[in-house]
Amino acid sequence: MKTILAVDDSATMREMVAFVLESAGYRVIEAEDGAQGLDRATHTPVDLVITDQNMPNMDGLTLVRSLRELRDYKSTPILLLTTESSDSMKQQGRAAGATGWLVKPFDPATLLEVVGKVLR
Amino acid sequence: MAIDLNRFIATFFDEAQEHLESIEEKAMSLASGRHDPELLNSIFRAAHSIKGGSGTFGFTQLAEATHEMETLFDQLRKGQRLADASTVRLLLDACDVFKGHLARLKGGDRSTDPAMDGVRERVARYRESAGAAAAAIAPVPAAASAPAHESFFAAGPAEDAEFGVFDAGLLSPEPVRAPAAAAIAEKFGFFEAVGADAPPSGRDNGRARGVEQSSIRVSTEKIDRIVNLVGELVIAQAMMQQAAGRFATQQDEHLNHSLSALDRHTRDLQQAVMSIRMMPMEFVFSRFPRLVYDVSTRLEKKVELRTHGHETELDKEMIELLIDPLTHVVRNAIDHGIEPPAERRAAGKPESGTVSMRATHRGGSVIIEVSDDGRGLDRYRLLAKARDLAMPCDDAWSDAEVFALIFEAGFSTAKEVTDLSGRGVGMDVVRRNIASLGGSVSITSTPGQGTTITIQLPLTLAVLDGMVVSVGDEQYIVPLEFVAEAIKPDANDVKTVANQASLVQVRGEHLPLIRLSDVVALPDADPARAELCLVVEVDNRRAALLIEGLLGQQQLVVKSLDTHLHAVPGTAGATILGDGRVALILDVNSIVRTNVARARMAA
Repeated sequence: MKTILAVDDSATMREMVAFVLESAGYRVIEAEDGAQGLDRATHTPVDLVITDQNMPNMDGLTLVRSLRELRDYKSTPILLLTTESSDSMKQQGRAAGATGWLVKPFDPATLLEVVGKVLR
Repeated sequence: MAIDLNRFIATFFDEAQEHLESIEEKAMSLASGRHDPELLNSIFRAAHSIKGGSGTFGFTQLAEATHEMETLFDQLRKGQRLADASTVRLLLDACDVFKGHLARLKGGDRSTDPAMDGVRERVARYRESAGAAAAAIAPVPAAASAPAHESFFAAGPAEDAEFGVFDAGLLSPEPVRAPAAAAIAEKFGFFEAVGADAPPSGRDNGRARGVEQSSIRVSTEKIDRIVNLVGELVIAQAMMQQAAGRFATQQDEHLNHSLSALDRHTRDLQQAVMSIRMMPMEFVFSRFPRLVYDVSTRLEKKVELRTHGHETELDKEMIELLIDPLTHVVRNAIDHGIEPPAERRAAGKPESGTVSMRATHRGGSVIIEVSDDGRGLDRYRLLAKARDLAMPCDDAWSDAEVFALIFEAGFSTAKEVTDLSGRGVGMDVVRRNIASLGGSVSITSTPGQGTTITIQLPLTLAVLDGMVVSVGDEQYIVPLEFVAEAIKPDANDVKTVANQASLVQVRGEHLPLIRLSDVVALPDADPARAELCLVVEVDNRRAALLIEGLLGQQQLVVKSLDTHLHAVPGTAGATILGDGRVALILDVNSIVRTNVARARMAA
């Protein structure tokens, strides 16, 4: 079973992502911010990280950069789940090493589709 | 697969409420005029989160209004403008409207809320009016995409309005298509369209989370039921122990061993269950910045609120009942304690006064102190006032005794009745409320330097450490927190004054002697058998309670008395003892107060 780490400071968003993914048979672990996400990811190997950008303690882009520095996460897919889909955000996301982005609010089917693609 | 996300609405409501409270709290720190990026950022994030969630569930008005707020905070955090008192006012008013709107949504009312339109426009106008000038100073960089970006985006093979993938090699050549519902260009109301053609999935097993699940939400009724049952278990366990004690002798080591294990586990269980009900003082403190802001603005005083001990835990029920009395105390401190800025300046104090709230654990109690650095209590004015009101008082009284006058019913020293403090609700109500929680209130004050109100409360209303005492055939409970010591006074130490009130000398100090047989009206109790004294202390007043027997110290489960028994003087509740008998818990607070007053009148 694939394990997915969902990082978001909003409990609503976290629970929704977890619910959608768990319904599709994935195992989901959650983190409330980038720092906690990094901590979770270093303790439990995950197959995919889905993270919010704007969070306290450590934002999503910093989390992406920090994960990419770890040997285990050099090539793990990381998706940015964000309300902002401006060009500069995308540029920053790519530079940080993220695999892709998905806008919030998200559609469950789209989320599953994207997750299915990157995990294949 | 069709998935209905509407089940998360409740989570969203809770979260939005929390965010609004945090915005409110943080907003009040804005007026200081300094640019604090982290503070502005966290308000921005809170507004942003509410916006995201409301968009998800199709709460368009809330999404639009929080979007305006978010945009305003984006300007602020980028330093394009500075927050001032008007920003704070705007935010607080907006939070009030948002809260009202949330309540409507919770109640299932999705109709257009005119107040929300009003507040959205107000924020937008505010943002544009002052923002226009600031924009000239620090222009927002145009969001035009540089050619470098362009080529990257053009190269992206899987790119849609909804998501994108940076690395082409990861995906199959054909672009992932967003479903029709998602393709609607509208920014909000996303899931409504999806939910319409999707029956509720009805899957609950999907929530079963692995080890990472750190908390669950449980209704308080369920917890209260467990607390009650554990209470019954503790009583049953005590009864069993007592029954076994009658026939189990040393030879039945196995039984004794089992009983003591049961005793230990029951206690641990009780403690564990009680801890579920504990909540941090944060829940109380978080309400006060707004109160202090509103009251001080109205009175044109400058007041800074400091809170300490947010993590101090207290029973949930107590937390809720504590808010009203504390609100009154804090209002009073600002209204009567803190001087107007001019007066403070004249007195050589900083213009801005300080009100501090501090919560700490001490033994089995929680101590909550509210201090101000205002003008302090005026002993002479209090005495004069007491005389006007024909209340018993004496110039020889200590400061503590004089200050305690403000807790008497009908005593108010406000020069004029204000609509803030002088609502006919006085400190006597505060004292009564706190006493009903099994606690006590005391006051210290230094003229010109300020006043401190100290509230002492038991950790929980459900369990109590008590001393079991007897008089006649009856057993009573004295809460341990009031007991200072137990003594056996010499006959010579007891003095009867004016044929009425008795005093007992304890190490040179004369304490009023209260006969428990009088308090509980047991006239046929044999005075000769009462030869023990419990020295009790309430609000810095000590008294000696004359009892017949001291049966031991015990943890007790408090059973509240029925409503029609509430008024029985001297009792605070009841408990079931190990032998199954019911014993009344004494209200030491009121017993000491009435008797000390009586002793003083007699003296």
